[in-house]
Amino acid sequence: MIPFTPAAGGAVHEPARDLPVESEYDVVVVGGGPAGVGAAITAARHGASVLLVEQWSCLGGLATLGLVNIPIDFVSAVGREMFAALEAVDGIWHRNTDPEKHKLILDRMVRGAQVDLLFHTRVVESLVKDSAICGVVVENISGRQAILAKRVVDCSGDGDAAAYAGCEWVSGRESDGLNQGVSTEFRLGGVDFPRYQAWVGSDPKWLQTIQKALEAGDLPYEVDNHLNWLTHVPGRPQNCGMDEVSICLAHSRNCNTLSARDLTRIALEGREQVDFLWAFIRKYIPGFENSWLIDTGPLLGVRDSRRILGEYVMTARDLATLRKQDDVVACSTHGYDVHNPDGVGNIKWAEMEIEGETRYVICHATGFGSTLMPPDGAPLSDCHGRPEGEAEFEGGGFYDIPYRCLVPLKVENLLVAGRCLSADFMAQSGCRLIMVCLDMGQAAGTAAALSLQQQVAPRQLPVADLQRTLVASGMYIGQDKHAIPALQH
Amino acid sequence: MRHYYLITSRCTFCGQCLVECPAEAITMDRTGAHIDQARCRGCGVCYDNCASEAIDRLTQPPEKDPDGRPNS
Repeated sequence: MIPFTPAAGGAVHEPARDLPVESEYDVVVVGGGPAGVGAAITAARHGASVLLVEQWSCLGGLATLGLVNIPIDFVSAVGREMFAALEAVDGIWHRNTDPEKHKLILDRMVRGAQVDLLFHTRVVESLVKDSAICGVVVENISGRQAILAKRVVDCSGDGDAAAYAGCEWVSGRESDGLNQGVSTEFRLGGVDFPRYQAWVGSDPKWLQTIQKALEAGDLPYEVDNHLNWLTHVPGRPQNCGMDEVSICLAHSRNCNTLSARDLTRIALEGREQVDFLWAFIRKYIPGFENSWLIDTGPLLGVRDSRRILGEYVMTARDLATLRKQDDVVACSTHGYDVHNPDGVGNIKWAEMEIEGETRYVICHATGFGSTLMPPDGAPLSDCHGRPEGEAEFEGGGFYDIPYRCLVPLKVENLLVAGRCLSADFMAQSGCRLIMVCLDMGQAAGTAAALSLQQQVAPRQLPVADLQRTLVASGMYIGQDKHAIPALQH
Repeated sequence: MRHYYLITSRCTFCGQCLVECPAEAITMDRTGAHIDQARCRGCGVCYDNCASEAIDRLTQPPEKDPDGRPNS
């Protein structure tokens, strides 16, 4: 009980109090999404005692609770184990996973690595001593408690622990602070998938079909101008009109993903959108005539919020030029992928200056899939400014994520991994997908454990030691494609 | 049996096949991803990893692109 005491400025005074210490660990991982899973497993495997704190009751984050069952990008180390475990239970097919099976697989993997779990728990503060994080404050049904840690790996996606610890951060598009459009994914059952497949080639992104429905008044407004993705959930009765799919189409715009009020607006809007989108789909999309709504993802598809500023800030140009870095700890193949912050469509190009000219640059040709093109009909170009027709892209190209992007400025003993990495808005839009978050997590978890073994701050950890350990444990950091100084001996 | 693969207009431009292809036989343009049949080894990695099930598996080399695109 807090005695009600008004304070200056209309605030309410909260007296200082002592917090019970719930536990003490070598490493506390904040957030149980793909990054947190990777961090917790690897830190534990390298000898650290590890607690993973998760606000929901399962692991996987958007990959499970968000119904984003499309784990694309590189598969590496823990990712390979995860895929093998999913395959063993018919839980993955064509890079589409079963979110429910995925939850149990991740439970088993994390528990198998001797990681302790604390579900239904939010991190609400960070404990800092002499500019070094030394634990977190959590709140859950047991109350408000402290958990002490020698290292904290912030995999919250929102950079909560880092922000509370005083790290500098930015959020949203540089020009206006808006975050990417936020999605509510949903699943439909009773789909005749072969019938859908036979039709969809004629309007692969549903662009024309959506316009037709708008003109007929069967969509109240343009939620998006295209289908973002539609995946085929494995392990269901298939090809007999009983298929299950997961759909990314609903979007809220003009989002502030650091406002609980706005997240509430988005959740309400998302469910309303799914209601009329399902009706639209049943009426217009062949194969869905008898479909039913299974569920909407309980976790909102937030694509970006805080980006914690680190020793290096990845830039849009790094992606387009497929930049390789000496301190690489993860790789990604995914180009710019912005769900328009303030209107329909997606943006897979970045505006930049090349030899004094404004160019609209895409990454290894995937940018041709944009549904919102540059202003005034300007052409898309490669990173050298060559327009479509002359543009050249490296087959199988990828870019590096350097360790420095996981090491926040100012605060010691703290690492970040996942979509809150240190990057500009366009760079983050590419390196935010499930598998690269898992890989960043593995790098950060390994670094946390190694830095404890070597008794140095993560900032001082010799990156060569980290890279050798990552490669020895099966991580792919592009070692077969470019010279990494630490691996040359 | 040797299989042949054809990327259809169901392609959603995610780029995963470009990364997976060990023969570097896949390119992408405004109409989607395409397989250079002369370079393709028939391993099927693109098919297995296409998250949109946009790739058809064939028992004969594709004679023409069903979507009217050039079939290199």
